[in-house]
Amino acid sequence: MDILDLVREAVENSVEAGASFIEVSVSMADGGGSVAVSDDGVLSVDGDPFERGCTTKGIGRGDGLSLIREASSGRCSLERWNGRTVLRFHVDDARLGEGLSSSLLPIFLFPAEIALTIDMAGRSMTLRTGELRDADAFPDRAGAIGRFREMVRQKEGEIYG
Amino acid sequence: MGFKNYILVCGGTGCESSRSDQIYHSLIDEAQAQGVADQVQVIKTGCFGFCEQGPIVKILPEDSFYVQVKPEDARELIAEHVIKGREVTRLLYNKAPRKAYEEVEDIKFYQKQLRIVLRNCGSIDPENIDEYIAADGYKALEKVLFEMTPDDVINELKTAGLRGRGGAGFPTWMKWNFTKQAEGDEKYVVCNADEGDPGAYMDRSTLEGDPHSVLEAMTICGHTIGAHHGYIYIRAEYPLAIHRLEVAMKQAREYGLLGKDILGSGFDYDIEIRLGAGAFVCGEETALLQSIEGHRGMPQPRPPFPAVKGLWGKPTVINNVETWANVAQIINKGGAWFASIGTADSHGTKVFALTGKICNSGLVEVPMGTTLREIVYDIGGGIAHGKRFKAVQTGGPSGGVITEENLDTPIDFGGLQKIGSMMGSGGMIVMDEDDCIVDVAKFYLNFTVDESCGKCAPCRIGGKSLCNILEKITQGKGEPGDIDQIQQIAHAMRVGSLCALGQTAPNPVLSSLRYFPKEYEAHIQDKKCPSGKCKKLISYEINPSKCIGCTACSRKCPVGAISGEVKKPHKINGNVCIKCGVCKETCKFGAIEIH
Amino acid sequence: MAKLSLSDLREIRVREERNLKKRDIHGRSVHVVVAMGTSGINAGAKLTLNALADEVEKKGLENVIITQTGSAAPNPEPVVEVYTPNEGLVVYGSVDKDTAVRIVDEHLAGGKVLEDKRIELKEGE
Repeated sequence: MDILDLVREAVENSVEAGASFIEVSVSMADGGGSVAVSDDGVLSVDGDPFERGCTTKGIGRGDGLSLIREASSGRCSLERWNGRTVLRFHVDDARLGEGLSSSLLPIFLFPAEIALTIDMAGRSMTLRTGELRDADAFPDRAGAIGRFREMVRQKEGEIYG
Repeated sequence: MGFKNYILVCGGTGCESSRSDQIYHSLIDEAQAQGVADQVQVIKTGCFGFCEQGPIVKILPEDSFYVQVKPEDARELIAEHVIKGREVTRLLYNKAPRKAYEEVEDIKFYQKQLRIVLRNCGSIDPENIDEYIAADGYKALEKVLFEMTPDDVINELKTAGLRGRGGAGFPTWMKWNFTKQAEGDEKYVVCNADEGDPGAYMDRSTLEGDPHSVLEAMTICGHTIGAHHGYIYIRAEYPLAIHRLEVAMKQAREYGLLGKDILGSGFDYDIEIRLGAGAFVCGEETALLQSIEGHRGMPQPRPPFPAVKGLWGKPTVINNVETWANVAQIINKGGAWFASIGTADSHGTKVFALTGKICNSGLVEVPMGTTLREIVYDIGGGIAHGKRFKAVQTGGPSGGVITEENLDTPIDFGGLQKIGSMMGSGGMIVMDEDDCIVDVAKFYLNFTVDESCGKCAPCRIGGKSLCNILEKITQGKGEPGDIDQIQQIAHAMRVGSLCALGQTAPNPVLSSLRYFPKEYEAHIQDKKCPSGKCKKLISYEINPSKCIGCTACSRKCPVGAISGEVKKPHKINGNVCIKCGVCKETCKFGAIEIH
Repeated sequence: MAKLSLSDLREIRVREERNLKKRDIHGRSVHVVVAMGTSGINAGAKLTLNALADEVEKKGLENVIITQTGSAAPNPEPVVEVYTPNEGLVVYGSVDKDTAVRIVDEHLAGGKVLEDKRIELKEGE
């Protein structure tokens, strides 16, 4: 599966916890992928946060983490570390979806500062919300959407060589 | 620069007086303290217009409209809105979070407004020329210097049909054209910023919020008519507007948008500020020019008009602030665009300062032809405290009242004249049932008598005599012939006074007489003031069936005029009572009545 | 500071306009909100969002701003809300890629609501 779909779920989860700065790192190796998402939001759940429907946010919400548990066959953890909430999970059969920019667009459209790193066989790329704003490439309107896609295409070259 | 949020803080005089300056600094300090200084830009803007709810703070891109903000709220705004991305609901105008697609325009106050003159007020930093340039600033000047002939400019203004916003509504293109055609080696451009009508602050807000729009327009005019010097005559009581103008002029000079060889065109032009001492008559153009020259500000007979013989005897264009603020937009968007807004008689928009007994007082800009009902009820939110609407005074001390029956008259130059008022500079004072029409007329007349320069007899003597008659009427000493005498004196002032101040001074009296003859009669014949305002004509009495004898009023009465035993109806001694009304405010049982 | 030439002035305008535009809500009066909750994603909201973004980009509609919101359950997802000053709020349900393109072409650019895709939004709670 496209591991960035799971990343999107994780980021949404962080944003809903009031996070303003979210760091995401994705490592691809041996056909699998490991993800760490660290945010400055609040962690306030009673019980198992990965349980389906464990939320205070209303219908249709709160499935994100349970989805991650399913996809990772339980290889996931959520902990508080140094004042930040850190979510880790590993998926055995993972890939980066076709068209990286299409997977990244819904992630970067969240109203938070996001720094995302993708590692793959020793190569890596990073994309930051601040960088997008500087280049007027925050993809919420015409012109910027084009610049966003172009920027991602260029960075894609950094991991695929 | 990659800012996540932009915080716009209203820096108009109204909001500054309720500590918006401190809010501005607190927001910057808090952003620093909470470590997000690089994520937000705090900008002090011009007036948002919604002064009733000030101080206003708007946060973009969410477009959250916060009202009545205090400096103490800065911490929460940064912590919640900027860092967590959550709106601070209690400070929002409607106290409820909005959907993503709702805009500030959805606030009723802004719905019917169209902002041309105030387009930049509340959206750019008036002390940063770059922001004005970004908002198409100095684009019109570019066009005028390099693409248009002076005649093109005048033709564009003619197509636009822009009329002077200072009150009289004289076509602007004609003024410019006369001055252009006038013989002379030296010509001048003058901006009249001597705003003096009670309750009016349109010009002040425009200068505070968008000073460059006036500088650019004056430079365009200079190039069009062949002048190299401009003057802005502004009252010294407007320190913030003066400061913003000075900053704007300094920045324009640094960029070479004022001074020698502007943008390499070979055209030289500069502007000076002249401070007025606050004499109302100096808003009259000939008196204003006298004052700039260093003489006592007294009106001169016209003709010759300033276009022919103005400042230092040279041909001069003189327009008011709001007129200037329209010019660059007309050049940018074309005269036809401007002419498509408004009515056949008056094109474009008009800015009004809405004050008095209204829910949402503030600055509003509406297309010409908007009805007074729309302004008072839709934008203004109706009469405060659920009272009944009585009238609106437009045109300040030179205008007149508009009553309920004329609320649906479209507001334009011709329409207002037809119902006995005038556009004036844009002050709009709303009166409710508690206002006495004779008292209001007296207030305006007292104002013009105070401000009369005393040069000509009709104004000096006529005004004083009218005042005396009105004083007599409100004292309960009116006589049957008073109304006739008012009419006679008013006529003499109208035809005999040298300038508009004297000619129009009787307007408030005449127009209130026309619409409220019964109220004058009640004062003169029955010696009664129907709205209970004129102290000499009223008495406070206690209704014994409602009074429970709680003694609250007698304890509050400052002159000890109320007596009575506990739990028994009290009485007011009319000989001692000073009619201050404290007892009426104090009584919880509505037992105190005005007769 | 050196005096400006005409091209300097234009350069400042272009540079500063970008910054100002980010604040300009008035020009961006059309809002498109895509419901991107988990259930929306399962129903293909990611494809919908990307199709909307690409079409808006292709058509160069500068007054459109795209945002995402949480789940729109229990409505037929993917759900797209469109707010324009003229038509007000219109909600579309079951918006696939093709419908997304139609929304941009017909509604955002053409001002014509797609009646066949319109739904009444049910509040889930």
